[in-house]
Amino acid sequence: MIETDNLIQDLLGIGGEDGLSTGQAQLDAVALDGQSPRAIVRPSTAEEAAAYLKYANSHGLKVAIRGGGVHSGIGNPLEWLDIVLTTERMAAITEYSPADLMVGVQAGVKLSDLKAELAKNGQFLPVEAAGLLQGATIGGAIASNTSGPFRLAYGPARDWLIGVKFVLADGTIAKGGGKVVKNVAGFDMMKLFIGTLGTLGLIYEMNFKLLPLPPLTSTLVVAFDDYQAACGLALKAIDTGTFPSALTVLDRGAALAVGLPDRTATLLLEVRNTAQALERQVRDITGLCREAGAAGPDMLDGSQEQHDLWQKVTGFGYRELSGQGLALKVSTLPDQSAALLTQAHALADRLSLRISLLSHAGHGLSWLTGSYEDEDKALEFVRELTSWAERLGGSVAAERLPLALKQRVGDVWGTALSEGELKLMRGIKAKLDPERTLGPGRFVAGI
Amino acid sequence: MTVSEKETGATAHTPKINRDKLVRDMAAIVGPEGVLHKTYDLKLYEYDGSVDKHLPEVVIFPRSTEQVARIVRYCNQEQLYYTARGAGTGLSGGSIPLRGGVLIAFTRMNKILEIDPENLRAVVEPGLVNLHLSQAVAPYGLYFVPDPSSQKACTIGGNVAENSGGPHTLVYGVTTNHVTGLEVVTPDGEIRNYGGKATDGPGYDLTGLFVGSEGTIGLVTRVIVKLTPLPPAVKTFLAIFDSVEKCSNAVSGIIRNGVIPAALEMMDNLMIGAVEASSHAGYPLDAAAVLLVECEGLPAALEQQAGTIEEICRQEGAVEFRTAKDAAEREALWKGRKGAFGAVGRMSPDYYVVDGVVPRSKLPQTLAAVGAISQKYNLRIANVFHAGDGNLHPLVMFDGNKPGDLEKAVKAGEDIIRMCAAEGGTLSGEHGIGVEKRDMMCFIFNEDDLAIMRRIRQAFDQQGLCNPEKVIPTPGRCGETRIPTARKAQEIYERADMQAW
Ligand SMILES: Cc1cc2nc3c(=O)[nH]c(=O)nc-3n(C[C@H](O)[C@H](O)[C@H](O)COP(=O)(O)OP(=O)(O)OC[C@H]3O[C@@H](n4cnc5c(N)ncnc54)[C@H](O)[C@@H]3O)c2cc1C
Ligand SMILES: Cc1cc2nc3c(=O)[nH]c(=O)nc-3n(C[C@H](O)[C@H](O)[C@H](O)COP(=O)(O)OP(=O)(O)OC[C@H]3O[C@@H](n4cnc5c(N)ncnc54)[C@H](O)[C@@H]3O)c2cc1C
Repeated sequence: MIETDNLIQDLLGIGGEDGLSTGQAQLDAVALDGQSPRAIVRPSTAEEAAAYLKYANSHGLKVAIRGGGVHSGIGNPLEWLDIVLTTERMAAITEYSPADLMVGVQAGVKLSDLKAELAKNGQFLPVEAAGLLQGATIGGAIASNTSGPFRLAYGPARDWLIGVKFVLADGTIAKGGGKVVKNVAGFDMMKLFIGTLGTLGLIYEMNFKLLPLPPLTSTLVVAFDDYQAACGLALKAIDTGTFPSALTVLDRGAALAVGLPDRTATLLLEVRNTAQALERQVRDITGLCREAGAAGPDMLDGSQEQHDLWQKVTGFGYRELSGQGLALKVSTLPDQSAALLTQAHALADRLSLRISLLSHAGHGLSWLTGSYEDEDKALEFVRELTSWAERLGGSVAAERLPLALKQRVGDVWGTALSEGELKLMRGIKAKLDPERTLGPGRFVAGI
Repeated sequence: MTVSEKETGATAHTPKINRDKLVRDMAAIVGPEGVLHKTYDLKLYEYDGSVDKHLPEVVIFPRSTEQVARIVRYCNQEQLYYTARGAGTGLSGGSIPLRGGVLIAFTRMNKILEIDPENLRAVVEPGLVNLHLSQAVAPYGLYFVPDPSSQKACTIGGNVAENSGGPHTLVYGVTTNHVTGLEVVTPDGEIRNYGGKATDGPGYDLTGLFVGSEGTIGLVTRVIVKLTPLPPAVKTFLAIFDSVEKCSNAVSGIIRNGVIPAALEMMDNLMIGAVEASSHAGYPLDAAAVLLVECEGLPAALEQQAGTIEEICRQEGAVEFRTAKDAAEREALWKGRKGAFGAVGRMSPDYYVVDGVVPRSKLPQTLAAVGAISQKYNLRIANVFHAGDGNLHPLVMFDGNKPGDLEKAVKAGEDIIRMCAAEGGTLSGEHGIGVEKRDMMCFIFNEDDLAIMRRIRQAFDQQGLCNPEKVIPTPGRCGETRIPTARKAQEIYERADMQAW
């Protein structure tokens, strides 16, 4: 039996009134998988967060960590929820050294605020996430290992995180890495914490390396009659050394969703460089389009126009209401984008789902959204697409599913991991959160 | 007996090993030709590129993952310590079997298993020599980015374990950014697959955690690496300075302006002298310091970038620029740079390579401080380093035959590392912690930070047999100066595979 008669009193004792919300409407607004917590705590320092976590941990209470809350539902169904801990009051840029191309931020900093701050110095952090405009935080983006179209040029978010500070469920405050760009002192805790969805600890502060904003960019839009041709040109653009920074193939639904014309397949390419080099890149890509017999390309030159389009591409799949329809993140090898588009559409036709798919052909991550009437068929769709991807060495993460469907899927990450690897992951969880205080059930195989 | 044994009394706990039985049992797994056990042979494997040493009981050369798994299971059963070794070029003692036991050498697992140019991947065995990978994929217009100066000898497995860098990892990142999957024999002797050819697989990032773990949480038996298209054009030039301060100001200026070239390496006068004496690479002997700059990319962009960098260097007081006219000149400059450590070895009886990192804006004061440390200990210190990353490599010269000289060199190194930590930097940018810096970990990590690393290690290695005594200090012992075994550093140059540098 959990003894928490004094829960509210105790939580007040830790962080005072500013740190606590218990209004039913507030609690319901942060419900996860249909469960409202009994309290929301808002620590303003790592020490406070540690005190809350330690309290929960020693009283058998279960905690979910919340950033912007735009995608808190990612993961397997939560087993139990007592407290939501939000990072909204830990939202300071702790150190910004433009001369070192380095920034230190607390978890609750909104991606949009960080972006604006860095832009003042002509710099940026190549961490992209859907939900940027809706208040996604840097902590949430790192905890869910997000990426977007420009990963082709800059690599995944993990390449930019150079230091991490965290709080474990037992209240231990610790860190890994540092603030220099090269560092091999000790285990790489940054890699360990990225993508953990709040199941190993609270990430409260991060250091990143930065880049200068590109001098100039051009975006090319090419229409095709079939996926193969679009994806083929994407790979060719890499192969022939035109150095694109983003290569995204959109099906009809995805094109419409980002405001592009209604075409079977659309390839978006972006190049960024100095004026002269850019001209040459555009010329080379145009040549490739001609060779491939494609019309166009259409060029977007205006920087605002390009920015808006890519923002929509990055935000593809975001919905105000969680639980509406499904959203899958599919990981394949770059040369399997066309096969994925074909396979997903064939499956969707057979099972009467309406889907839209956007594939970053250069780095192999794709996003699929779908709506359905028949839950059985939707379930079959998710399962079949997942096993198709897994057979090819890839994987599917069902990042958004209505609760009823989520509960039937089994594991939202499919079955790519064998029992052997899972045993190691359970071992890590058991060492860092032995009481399973943080997001119990959320992670792969119900970790 | 080594100092580390004295410190820990570790040998007292090691079970009495029946060497004959061990050799027989190991031969049953890998064949008699895969086992070394005579003291004469073992002597070649008691050290790496650092200043430590310790003899293994046996050296085993497995040829397959299955054999590696059997060796590890055997070690568990017999409670034997085991340590992995690649080419032994490590500079922090990572592959030294500090408690004896079994040394597993991966040099015979050196095949390239697959090249997938479409998806920019290769699958290789850990004993493959770094340079051989880039050579093998060059016909596809690809290369493997991490290029440690030791690349003619060091192995991909060693690179993975150390998370190695190199002159050309400034823009594209170090080893961890170029590995997407691993096959690992875990300390419980199981064969596991982390990550894969595709990225973003489900679960905790075991691949990311393994890279840089210095052989302490398992043995890698297969590596899936990312390949990168070769640049369409390269421009290499030297910016020559009449003071170290101006040169380091130029580096800070280049980074501050965000024009990051593919490589940005610095050498001081002492280093230039050593390099020219051994390889006539074309560096100006009278310069106080030079920057070796390499820009790559599309020709137009490249010229513009090079132009901006020249401009910044000029503003900071560069006196001259020399551009490599052709591939031969470029290669000579790089050969000189990559042979820098070896060159110092010919100039001084012994040297101690220090590896530390500072924020790039702090380079000027940091180099001044290194100069002061050189004077304090009255030891010459040559500087050659990855300036663009803020990754210093002061080479402290000493004479191991002179009583007290090694101690002085180690103390000077420790002063440098303390200074890097105090400037907001770190203990090691690429050479690892190993045993060399194990007891310096507390310069940047507190006991809680270290306790968590210990927990992680235990999650993989319950018995504590895998590469013992490395990376994470024993509680309470951190912070003491550790004077390593006085191995004659000279021994290293007698090894054929090290001659190349
Ligand atoms: C339909 C859909 C489409 C998406 N499209 C994309 C896309 O195209 N590209 C992409 O990269 N991503 C995509 N995502 C993922 C999404 O962008 C990120 O998950 C989001 O940015 C999270 O930010 P947040 O601050 O709102 O975090 P939250 O939603 O609040 O939290 C997300 C997760 O992180 C954990 N968490 C948050 N903060 C912390 C912290 N400080 N410490 C530890 N754990 C923490 C939470 O517990 C939770 O599990 C998509 C998700 C969905 C559902
Ligand atoms: C002249 C010289 C120049 C150098 N320049 C650079 C440089 O520019 N950048 C840089 O980063 N380093 C440099 N180094 C350091 C060294 O070359 C690298 O650390 C290299 O990656 C070590 O590879 P190795 O095969 O020699 O490994 P070893 O020295 O044999 O071992 C290093 C570590 O890897 C572990 N290990 C080896 N194989 C495996 C395996 N299969 N599974 C698990 N663990 C394993 C060992 O246990 C040990 O902890 C240099 C060294 C020298 C001597």
